[in-house]
Amino acid sequence: MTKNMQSGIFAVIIGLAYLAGTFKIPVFETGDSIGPRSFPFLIAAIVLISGVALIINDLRAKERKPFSWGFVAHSAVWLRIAATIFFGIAFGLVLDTLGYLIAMFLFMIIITELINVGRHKQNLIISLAFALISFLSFAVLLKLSLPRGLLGGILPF
Amino acid sequence: MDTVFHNLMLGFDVALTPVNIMWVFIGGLLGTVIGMLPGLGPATGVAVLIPVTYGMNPTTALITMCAVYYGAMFGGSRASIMINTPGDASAIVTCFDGYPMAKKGKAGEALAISAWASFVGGMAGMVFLIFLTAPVAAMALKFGPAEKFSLMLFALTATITLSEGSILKGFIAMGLGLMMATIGLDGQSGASRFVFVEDLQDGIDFLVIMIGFYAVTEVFKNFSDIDQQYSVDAKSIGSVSMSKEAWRRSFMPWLRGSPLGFLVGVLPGAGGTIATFLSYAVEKSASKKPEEFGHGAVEGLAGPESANNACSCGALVPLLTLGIPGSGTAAVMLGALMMLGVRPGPVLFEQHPEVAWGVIASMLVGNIVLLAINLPLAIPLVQLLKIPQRIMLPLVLGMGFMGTYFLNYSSFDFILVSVSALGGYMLGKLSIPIPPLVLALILGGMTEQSYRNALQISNGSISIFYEKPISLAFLIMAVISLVYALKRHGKIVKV
Repeated sequence: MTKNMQSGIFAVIIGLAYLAGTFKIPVFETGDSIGPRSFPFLIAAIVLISGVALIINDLRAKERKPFSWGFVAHSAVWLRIAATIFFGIAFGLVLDTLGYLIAMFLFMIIITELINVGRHKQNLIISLAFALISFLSFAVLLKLSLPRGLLGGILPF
Repeated sequence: MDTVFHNLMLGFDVALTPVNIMWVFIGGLLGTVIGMLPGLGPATGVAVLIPVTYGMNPTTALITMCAVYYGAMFGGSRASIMINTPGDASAIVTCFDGYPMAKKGKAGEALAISAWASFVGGMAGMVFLIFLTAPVAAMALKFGPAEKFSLMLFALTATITLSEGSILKGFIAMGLGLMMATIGLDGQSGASRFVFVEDLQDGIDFLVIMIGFYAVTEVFKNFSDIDQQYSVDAKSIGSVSMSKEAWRRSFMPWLRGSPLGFLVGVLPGAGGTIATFLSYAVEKSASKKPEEFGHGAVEGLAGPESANNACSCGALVPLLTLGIPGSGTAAVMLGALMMLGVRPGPVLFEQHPEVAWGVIASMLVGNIVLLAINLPLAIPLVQLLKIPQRIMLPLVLGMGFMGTYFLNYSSFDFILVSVSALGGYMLGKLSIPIPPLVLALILGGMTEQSYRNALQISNGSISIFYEKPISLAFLIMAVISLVYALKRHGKIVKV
């Protein structure tokens, strides 16, 4: 399937889902005569029409180059992306419990190990330095609120 | 004229405080460093450095962000000249003649030409900005809902048509941005729209999406290139100064490039890439020796560099006067400012002139500071290009995720930033442009509000949009931009 075809199908699916959601918007009889559904209907129409037009244009095209996401050929890139997303979300979930210093250090050590492969000592220094410097800069110097977590009773600041 | 002078003096009173000068310097230096790194442009620079502005007052925050923006524009060309790898798309043209100059042993002169051209372009752009902002802001104050809606429609269509790629994909991107903008409680009726989880009740914080698109997605794009390492030989750079011949050959390109870049910058979505390519084309056609272009022509470096920085000033005109960002970087700045409680637009000049003019004056100061950073520190700064991607990328990710937390102190934002980063990467793979999505996300709420208010005034008749002259003018401009795009592309679909 070509890039345009995939884009068109994606737009149609999203457009239909959004349109279905638009019908579920409650309408109140207030002073607003236009209502909260009117604008979303327009948006759904734009996306659906554009998607269908892309598909039709693609079907009519003489030259149709297949498009690959490269999940196999570039598996290392996709794995890094998936890991970054997973650990990024996990970082957010454990931040308050573990505290910024520990959570950021763990996040950075995992990310550096993913990207800067095999250089453990370098990664340890970068992760520790990043967590400490950012904590000192924002929590201590700029006095922004950052969770202390497990180190709450130990940290002098 | 007197009013402009008075306002400018007010601006200098704000800009020349020790704290603001310090932040101009720090922001400029950080921006130069980030702008220099291949693959990371001004938008990434501002996005990852947003946390630095937390705790500042809005004026200092905006001054710092402008300094980062400016610094990144100055720094973007360093990598083009030294390693033939542009810091961002607007620095591609700098590779054409900057790198050949470096190969001929004139890297120092190329760095100096680029710094001076950026300075001249920035200063000229600021002069245009100073004289244009007040009248545009005054005019914008008279806009009613119909005019506002048509203006935003023009901004959105212009962004679609000036972005790279297919127009249909531009419309899809715009639609996606508008969809995201409608999530949350409807401001006028109180109806809950597309709220699948409670955290979406207040809508999507577009700054979270910006960090996803401009910081994390950019890192994802560089994942295929993590082992890239550049060698920079400091000894071969030579003296970072311009010869008499270079001064003579740079003068006219600066004069042509600056106004051209500024005009392109004012157009929503056009950006530095178009400005620099246009300027390069103009210089080549104006040259008596066009065959020198691509082999180290001074004009091919001086013109586009001045156009690039003048363009960044132009992009601030719609941002400061209308609240409409003219570029991705301006969009990130708008988001950060709204978080600080400042809404750029015509009212800003009326209600907070010290903020608006303080920023403008600080940019004049910033230009001088950046020249002072970029000439003597050129050689140590380019050494930073030696830092491999595999070390820089985790740091950018760390900054991005840290900044996400500071926005709302919400763990849900980490899901949003991660999903938007993946979305940005996949949309990029499908050649669906990001700028229309971002602009639509930012302007979506205002566009809908203006649309509904206008229709309420006219009892549901759409004639209100073409019966008002200013509104009609914007609609005509929107149509012209679409026709222009159709002519430019030849067809509406491109792979």
